[in-house]
Amino acid sequence: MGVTVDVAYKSLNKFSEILCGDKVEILQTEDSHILILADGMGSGVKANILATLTSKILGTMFLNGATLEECVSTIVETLPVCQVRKVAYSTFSILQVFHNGEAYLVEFDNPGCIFIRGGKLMPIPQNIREIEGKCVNEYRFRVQKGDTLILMSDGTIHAGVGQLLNFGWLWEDIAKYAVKQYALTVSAMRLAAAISQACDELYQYRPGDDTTVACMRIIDSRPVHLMTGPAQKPDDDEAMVDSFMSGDETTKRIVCGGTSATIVSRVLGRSLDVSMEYVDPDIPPIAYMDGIELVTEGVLTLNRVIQLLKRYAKNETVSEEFFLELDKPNGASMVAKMLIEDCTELHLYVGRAINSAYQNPGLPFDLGIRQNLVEQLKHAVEEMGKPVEVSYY
Amino acid sequence: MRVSICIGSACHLKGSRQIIERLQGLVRQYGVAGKVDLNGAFCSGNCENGVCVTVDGELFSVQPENVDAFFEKEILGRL
Repeated sequence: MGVTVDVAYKSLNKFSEILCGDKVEILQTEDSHILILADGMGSGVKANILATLTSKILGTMFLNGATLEECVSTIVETLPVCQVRKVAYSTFSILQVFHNGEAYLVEFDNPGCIFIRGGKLMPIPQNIREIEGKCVNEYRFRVQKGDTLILMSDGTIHAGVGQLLNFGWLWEDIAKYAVKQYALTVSAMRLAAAISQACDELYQYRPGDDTTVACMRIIDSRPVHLMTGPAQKPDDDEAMVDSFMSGDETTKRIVCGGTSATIVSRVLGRSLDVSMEYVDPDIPPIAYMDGIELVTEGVLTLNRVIQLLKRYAKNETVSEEFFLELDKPNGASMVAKMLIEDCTELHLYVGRAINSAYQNPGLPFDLGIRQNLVEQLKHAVEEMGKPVEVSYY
Repeated sequence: MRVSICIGSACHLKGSRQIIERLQGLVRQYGVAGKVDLNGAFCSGNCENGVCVTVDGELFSVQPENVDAFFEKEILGRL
């Protein structure tokens, strides 16, 4: 059925720790997406090493087709033994979703996966297998579009324990909260951020344990076409616009650039309506054209878009404040929001023409850097786990 | 009368925003909103001489420092 996923996670470090003892790996194989969450015993450097080793071993072995038994025994044999507790230990959850809709969930000692379908909580049956003395739960099922699966470290269910809540935030209550947030949020990142934010509040902003929420949503593929810059040879304008306008009704289109927008308007014979509203003094206003989701100025807007995408890819700085920025109605936030939340694959149509006015040394920065910007944009979107294709004209 | 101010990259950096704000203020001040239709525009192909402002199709080059003079001569003067 051609399943695509939207996947994101958010971690809180135990108060005063610089490193997180939870580790998330997001991987893609030819025919599947894999999400792994490992929680190393203890906190700080030791936990970070345990969790990193566990998630990397699982990821690498899964990618190469190893069985679960082989993975678990490798972990058991590899993890260094803790001097204090005399055991080698890291919990983990693995979620693998194949493009044909089959899914495979493996859980070892993490709080159970929260599975939401059609706005309701779905039970995950117990099917425990003992491997190397460890009890591992396995679940094979089929996903549907709209399904959401949430993996967590135990920092979530310990949130507020002994402080605001006697027994911490119970799994059932987190699940209820997740179902409520699922209805309110549009992307995996917003859902993960909402749950981790609630944990942070219950901890009164001093988490007593590393806390991680990783979220995978099953979605339709949502291609975005982005055109920027006029073609080097004006004769190619038409071919460039033709390719840019290709795709089906699920394809969204963005034009970044005044001259590009003028070209699209001319080739398609559609009028271009340019706004004068400066929502942000540094970002020129946007424009409107029938059949194009977003029309913005070029290099200044793209520069800001890249800053936003880099912040997002970095993850630590993704907070409520980031989403407030993303929801602003200026051209750059609107482009970034579409690339983050409404895009599964990006196709860039890039014109190589150079605007001689941009070579003016009196301008605050070199505007002739469109191609450099395109490279950075491509890199940032790929880092978000989305495939990017570039066509030059 | 249709007046379009370019807000493309080069013109933006040369002060489109200040020019738009000043023109909007002047149009209000002189009570000519019914006669002067202010619009944004993308590249007019004259980026070297920004900020590009067109008055009924005629292209002008305006800087934030000379908006008032431009308004009096080319906009009020033509009404």
